[in-house]
Amino acid sequence: MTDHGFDIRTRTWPLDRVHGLRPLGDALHLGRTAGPVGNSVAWLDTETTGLAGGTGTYVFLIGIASTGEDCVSLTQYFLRDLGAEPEMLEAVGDHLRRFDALVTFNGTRFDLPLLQTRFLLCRMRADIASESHLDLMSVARRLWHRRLGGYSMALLEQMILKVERCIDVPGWVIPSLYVQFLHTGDFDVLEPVFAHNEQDILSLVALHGLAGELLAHPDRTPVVVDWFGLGRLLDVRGQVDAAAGCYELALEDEHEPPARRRAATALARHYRRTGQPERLLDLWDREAQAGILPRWQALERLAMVWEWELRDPQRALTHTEHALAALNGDGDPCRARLLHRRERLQRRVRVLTRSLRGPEGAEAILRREARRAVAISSSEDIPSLRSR
Amino acid sequence: MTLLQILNRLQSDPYLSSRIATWKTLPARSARTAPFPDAVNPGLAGALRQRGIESLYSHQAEAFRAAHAGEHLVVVTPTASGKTLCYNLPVLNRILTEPNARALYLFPTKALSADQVDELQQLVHTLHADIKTFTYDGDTPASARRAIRAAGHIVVTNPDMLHTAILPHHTKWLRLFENLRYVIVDELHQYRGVFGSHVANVIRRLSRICRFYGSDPQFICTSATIGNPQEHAERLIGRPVTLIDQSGAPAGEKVIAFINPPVVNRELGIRRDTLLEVRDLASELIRNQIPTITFGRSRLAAELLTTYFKDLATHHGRDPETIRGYRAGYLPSERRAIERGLREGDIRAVAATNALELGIDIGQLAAAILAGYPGTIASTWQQMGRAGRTSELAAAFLVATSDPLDQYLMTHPEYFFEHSPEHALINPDNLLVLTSHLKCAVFELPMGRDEPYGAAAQDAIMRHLQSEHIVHDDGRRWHYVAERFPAEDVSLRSASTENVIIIDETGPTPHVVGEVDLASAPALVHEHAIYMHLGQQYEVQRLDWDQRKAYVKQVEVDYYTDAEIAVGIDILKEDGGARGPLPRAHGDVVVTYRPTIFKKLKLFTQENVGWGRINLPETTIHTTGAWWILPSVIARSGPAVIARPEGPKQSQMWSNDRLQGALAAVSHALHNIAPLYLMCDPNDLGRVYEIRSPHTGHPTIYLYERAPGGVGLAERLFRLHDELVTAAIDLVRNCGCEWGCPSCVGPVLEVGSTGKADCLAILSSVIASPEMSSPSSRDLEGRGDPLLTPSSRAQRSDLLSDGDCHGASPLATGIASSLRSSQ
Repeated sequence: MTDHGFDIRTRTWPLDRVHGLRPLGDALHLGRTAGPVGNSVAWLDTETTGLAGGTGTYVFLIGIASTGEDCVSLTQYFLRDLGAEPEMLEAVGDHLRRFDALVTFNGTRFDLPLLQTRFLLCRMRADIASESHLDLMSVARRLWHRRLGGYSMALLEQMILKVERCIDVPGWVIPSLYVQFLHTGDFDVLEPVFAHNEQDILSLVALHGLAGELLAHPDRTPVVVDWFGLGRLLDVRGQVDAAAGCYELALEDEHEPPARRRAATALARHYRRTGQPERLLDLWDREAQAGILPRWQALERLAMVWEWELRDPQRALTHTEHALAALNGDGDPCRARLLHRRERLQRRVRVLTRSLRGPEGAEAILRREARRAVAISSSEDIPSLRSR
Repeated sequence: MTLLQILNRLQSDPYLSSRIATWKTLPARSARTAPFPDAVNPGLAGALRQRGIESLYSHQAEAFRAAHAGEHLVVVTPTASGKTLCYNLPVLNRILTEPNARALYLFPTKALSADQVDELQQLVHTLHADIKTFTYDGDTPASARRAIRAAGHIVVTNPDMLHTAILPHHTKWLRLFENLRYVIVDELHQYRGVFGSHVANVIRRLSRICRFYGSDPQFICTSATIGNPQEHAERLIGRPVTLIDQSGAPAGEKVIAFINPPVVNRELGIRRDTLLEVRDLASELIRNQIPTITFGRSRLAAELLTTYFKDLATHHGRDPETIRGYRAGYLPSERRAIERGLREGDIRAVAATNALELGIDIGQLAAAILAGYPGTIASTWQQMGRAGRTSELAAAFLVATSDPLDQYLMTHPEYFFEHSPEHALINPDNLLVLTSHLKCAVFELPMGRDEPYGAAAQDAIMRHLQSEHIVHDDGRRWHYVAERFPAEDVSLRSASTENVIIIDETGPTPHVVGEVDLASAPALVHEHAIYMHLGQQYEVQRLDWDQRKAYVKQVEVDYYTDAEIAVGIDILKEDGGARGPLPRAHGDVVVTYRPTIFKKLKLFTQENVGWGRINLPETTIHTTGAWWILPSVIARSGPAVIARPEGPKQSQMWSNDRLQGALAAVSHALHNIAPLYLMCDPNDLGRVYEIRSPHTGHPTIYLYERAPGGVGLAERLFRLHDELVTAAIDLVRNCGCEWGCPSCVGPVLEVGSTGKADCLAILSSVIASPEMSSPSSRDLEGRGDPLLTPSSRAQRSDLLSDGDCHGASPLATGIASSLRSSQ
């Protein structure tokens, strides 16, 4: 369909067409769990004349997929003549306005700002950035970066979706094929580019479905996944119990200290918020034994639990002493923090002992101390946890 | 003693006064003020009064009126005459009446912008207005950038950031460009030569983007004294400008003295060392704590002077901590601390390189000493301008080196006082420069077929870019279709920004003490070099060339090191030639620098106390050169075969020694006179000669450009040939020396007893010969393509990134003295 220097191509796939692990119909359905908020979703992917961004990068192919009658339907807008950009963008804008939510892969950083720039340069209203939008790249990073060592669409297709591309052009060749077309008018060189865009869109739908499936049923994941990352995604969505389950799974085989600290800290936060001090003690006791995190760190956490959760300064002090003893050398900058804690605890223990004998009731002192403790704990301990 | 008493003693003491070559007194000037113009917002006038500004100087009021009337303008007034208010006033006034208005401030260096933002923010603070000023440069954190784009009223940046970060992403800067009312170009004189030609194109691109967003900003430029401020501003911004050059600021009386050190060896034509002479001159100033700035021509000179001055301070019972050095390579924090110390008076004397020549605010000092002629009249005035106070007496001294240019000025002071300062020259239509920026421009916005970009050859260049598949023509407009981000491939400054980091390993934790640009590293931080920083000596333990790191340890020794670099040259391509008694040509050359040895020289006496080898890979640069050929027939049989106006005819063959002397002499003479005609720094040109050049087959003299790629100086040398030779003959003939001296053909030890006479004979034969100076037809044909001509017009004066001293040789005497012919 040629129209004013740009082409519109459409094609559809039946819902029972399998791409990735599931039929497209299932992916559409499952994907809803992952978002985005909205009634009608479009999947968007673009091909451009460069990857560097900036005002001189043209978007020459825009693929927009949506749910049709018993099918997934794709519309591709192709810029045949650079001078026709305003007309094409107008058509694309009209098309996009039929939807109130977008799904992309790296749209936040690449596709959407680039489109925004193109609209601005053509002096047109550009409101795509304000739409409800799910960028699956951020989801993929959490779910697979640590497991796969990357999260590019090509890698995900190969390792997770198990999609094989038969004929395909590598992404970096695409800009030069378009320039070749502009100079020669030879349309054939672009056929693989259209196919590439179709594949990208199908994988986008499949990945969206998989993300929804993982979030809906974290207990039966069909693929390898970074449990901590999945836990974080669930946490953000308010599914805290499911998240805690993931953190527990993450701790099972995590031997890298920073990652293990992240998981343990996240789990501890959950136990604290849900009022499970026994599990909290148990968690840090286990960490102190596991020997992956520095022992003094686990002991320090135990001291914190005893001090703020269980309100037992004496035991908190004991754990602080142990933590100090476990510290390597005098040069450690954390030493000052522990010394500070010890000093405070010693003071409180003294007050407590004195007040038991003195005129002022121990209860009153403890209450006052507890009020101060809340203030301190929110201003002191929490940031130090977050900074890890 | 007061400064006046010190000056009187200088003049009356016969021992000292014998050194005075020139003594001039510039009379005091009283202030000319004007009330705040009516159009100035009362709140703004109030804030200025609160900051102690009751009225404006006449040039400030004039600038405001011109800006208010919608004119573009350039303000040229001395250091510390309140130049910044000339633009801050109209800008703030506009933002107060039009809160959406935006202004863009362009400064050539970061240090300058930091200074100006400070001052501006203080004024805004007093004003209690919601005017946001932000610096946007390489150091701006990513998190702050969004806010700056959306909300910054005044965005302070540099041409490089505008070029690579702002213009190519202009849609993100929508707010700025839609509402841009003023563009401030401070330190206009910095944008000369190739750098200036690039910046002119960045401004063309800026104007295009503004047109797209419907804005048409006014330009307010400021400049130090140059010969052609108005013309230069008009070429740079492509618009007519109003010139404001009558300063209303007051100035006290000022003495300018040229000091010529006494000759210590008449046969060799050697004068007493300039730095020692400067030390003696500074002694009384330091003893009496007169605020003094000294400019050395190299980093080593600045460091040596710092050492000498600290020593003087201790000797006179003053705190040596009140003496500091200042040069490129100091860490930014160190630099800021020194600037503050100077402003606030904690630092009484500073020994600097021209890194401090810019508009950096260090307050007003009482005395300035220039250790050697800086190379141009303009920068001499700028450096001397550092001394000058509103009411009290000030003094500026130029202490000569044995260098020919210095000696010329000592005997011809009128050259300095009567000549107008050098012109700043740019050529925005230089083919290479223009093409690079057209790529960037079309990347930023498709370019209409007859869009007014400002250049002549636009259409031809775009067609060329189309054939290279970089742009695509849709019938009406050119579109950028290449993948590369074009601004990244175009550096506005030609000097490499690579640095060698200097790491002090004396203590338990190694730390960075400074840096040195890559080109100077072989000479300054080779193994066993003594590197001086803030007056502290370090010995280089190890130079990791690949990692660009030099490891040093603090030492205390009584010597410094001076490296020798051997230079070789190969001709790659001859672009044009001319026949005659002294055939000449110009073209592409490759120059090889090979560090050879370093000498250990005793502090204070310069006595040679040892040497060592430097083991470093040679470095090469591709550039352009001009060369002169002595045909073997002349060289072998002596100048007898050519007309020789003076002296007896000679018929015997020249010995190799004699030939070498003659070559050295002619190359010296040409190299000595060339900077005056090219308006470049002597260090911009290198000099080499060969007894038998593998390329020409004859004895050959080369002058080549030190800037990679060259900027047209060599071609200009080729074309200015007649004037150059005439002037060189004048220089040699009128020199008082008998056998040759550094001021004309070089010291007799280098050129031999026949060098001077042979040089005169060779050069005179050129002028006497009628068929000379006509370029060959090949040369003229080579110029047929109009696209190829403009490159020769560009002038380079200062293209190094921070304006610091150039060249590899650290000594003030320059590299020329350490050059050796390559065979």
